[in-house]
Amino acid sequence: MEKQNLKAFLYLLPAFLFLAVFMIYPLIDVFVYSVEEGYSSASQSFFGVGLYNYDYVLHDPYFSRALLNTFILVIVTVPLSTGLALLIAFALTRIEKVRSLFQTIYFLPYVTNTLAVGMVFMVLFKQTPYSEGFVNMLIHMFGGQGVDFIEGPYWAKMFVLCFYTIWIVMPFKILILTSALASVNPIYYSAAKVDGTRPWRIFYKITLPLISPSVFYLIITGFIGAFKAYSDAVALFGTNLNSAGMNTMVGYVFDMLYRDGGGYPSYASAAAIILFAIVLTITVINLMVSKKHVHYS
Amino acid sequence: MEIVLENLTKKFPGRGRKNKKEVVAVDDFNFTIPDGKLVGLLGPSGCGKSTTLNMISGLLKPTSGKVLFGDKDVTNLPPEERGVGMVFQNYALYPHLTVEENIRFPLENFTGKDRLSKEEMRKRVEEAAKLVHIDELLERKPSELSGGQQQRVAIARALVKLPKVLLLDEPLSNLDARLRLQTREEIRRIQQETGITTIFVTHDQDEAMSISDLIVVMKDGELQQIDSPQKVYDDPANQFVAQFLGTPPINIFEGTIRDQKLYINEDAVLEASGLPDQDVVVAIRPEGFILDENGRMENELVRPEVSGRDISILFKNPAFKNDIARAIISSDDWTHIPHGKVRFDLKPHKVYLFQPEDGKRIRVDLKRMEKE
Repeated sequence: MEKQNLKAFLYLLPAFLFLAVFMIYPLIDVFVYSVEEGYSSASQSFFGVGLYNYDYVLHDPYFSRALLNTFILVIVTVPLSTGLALLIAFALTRIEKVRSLFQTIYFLPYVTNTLAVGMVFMVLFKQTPYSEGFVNMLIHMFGGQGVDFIEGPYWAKMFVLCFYTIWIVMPFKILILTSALASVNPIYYSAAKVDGTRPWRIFYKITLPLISPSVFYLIITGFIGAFKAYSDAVALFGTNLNSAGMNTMVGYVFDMLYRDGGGYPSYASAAAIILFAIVLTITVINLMVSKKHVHYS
Repeated sequence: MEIVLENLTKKFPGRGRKNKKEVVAVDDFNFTIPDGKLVGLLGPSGCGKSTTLNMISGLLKPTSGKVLFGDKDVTNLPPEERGVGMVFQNYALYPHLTVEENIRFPLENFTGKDRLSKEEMRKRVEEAAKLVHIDELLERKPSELSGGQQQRVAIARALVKLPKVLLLDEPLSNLDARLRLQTREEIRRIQQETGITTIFVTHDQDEAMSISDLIVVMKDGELQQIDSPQKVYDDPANQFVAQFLGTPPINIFEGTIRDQKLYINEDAVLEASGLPDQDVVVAIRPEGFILDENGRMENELVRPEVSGRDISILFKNPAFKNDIARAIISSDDWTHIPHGKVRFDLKPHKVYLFQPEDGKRIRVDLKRMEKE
């Protein structure tokens, strides 16, 4: 028995070493950094241990802005993208003739290069000396007042960021939900039909509970993904997100480490730990809510 | 509620490029199911019995023909307006709802003046659960029930809205042998207690025989015979019906009619007065043989098979279409016979003649031969 255990641990060792070096050690290290006050990477020294770094980060207006941006992003994009994906996936199961064509179209953004997507959004929203952007053109056509979506007011920029995020995350969600819907045994729909169940009630009382594990999976990963947003903002507003007022939490961490010479690993660590705490809390809440509403067969 | 099918036909379009031919699942059905009866739709798989059931329920639209409930033409009505309750083959219980919620589900669909109060719903659910003896299980989820219990829940859910017609699609096929016996009695009891017109689909002739008031035998989308179980067994309309019903199956011999006598392999076995000379198919039920050392039909004994109450005699005959034929006799009539020949006389009412080319029944009054 002992020998067997030893063998088992030996088999696990490579994976464990890998995780230890690249996951566990950095995690601990980040926590250690975050409580070391006045750490200097040049001299590898610090003055003392305490919560000053957290205090600094929480009072940094750039951090508050990043926190607010991230929260708006999460609250707007997760429900909207999941809901829209559900709607589209449901519609896809209903049409029969050109379903695969539509499926391909909806899945295209998933395999499209991020930079190419960024270009498209530039064409849509960016004002240049030669063009006002496609969306502004439309707004003007209908007699509205144009707005600078990339360098203009905060709400316009936020709108573009949310729009972009939703557009990017939708294909994967549609894919997952389409397969989830397809896996629902049609006999349930027959049974409901015989009993005269109205379409909305069939969806709400039968379809949704039966695909709830997939929906739940998408909500959890959606939350985590949105909290980790960074590259999308960079693609739209350039690398100086703080001055654009469009920074995100991960962006803030990155800036603290590298931008303008960087060199604030302690602040970056504190911000990262705060982000971790928030994501953990939200995920735990999600899990608790799911106990009641998710039905695993 | 009397159910009338008039020229009911269902064709499915061919699928794909290679298989363009349309499939006729149900071909020109005409029959009436009397009010308050338990009717079995019986046939081998693919004979269109489930399609027929689905057209009665309204889940499928017929290609042509009519479905009438009483005097009312319901052909174009959706299922919910027909007032049918249906039990599906795998029960289709909603896995995320408890037994109680499952049974209550149809009631919650009622709108307008039919709408029920919470109290009324609870009462109806309780009554339905009591009827099928599952009132102890209301809090459970379907996954926590045995197959037989799930079946009962499905029946309760079908009955709770007090339908005029109850439809069951292969209700017993997912149960093990013992539960099947028990459950079919249960279905019979429930049907008789409620008096509701019930139609069930099955490929198991035993099931159909044991509980139906009326059996509808189908094959390849065509109606073969509608009669009481005993009549279908004793008086089959054609060779298919004779072969499909009865365990062990009926024995099929090649025979000829000569001089108003039925010959099997050169033995004149029965008088067939009034028939012209011709080749015929002779079908003899296993219980249609009488062991007699002076019997007119000579066969080669393979071996006797003892099963307590009665004895199967396995024998060979050159005119027999398959390998080994089987006669069943009461063990009281059994006398040990040495290896070699075994001779039988036949019971005329257990012998049926069919036309070799199309399997149609040749109606004739067969009689035992006079002793010489």
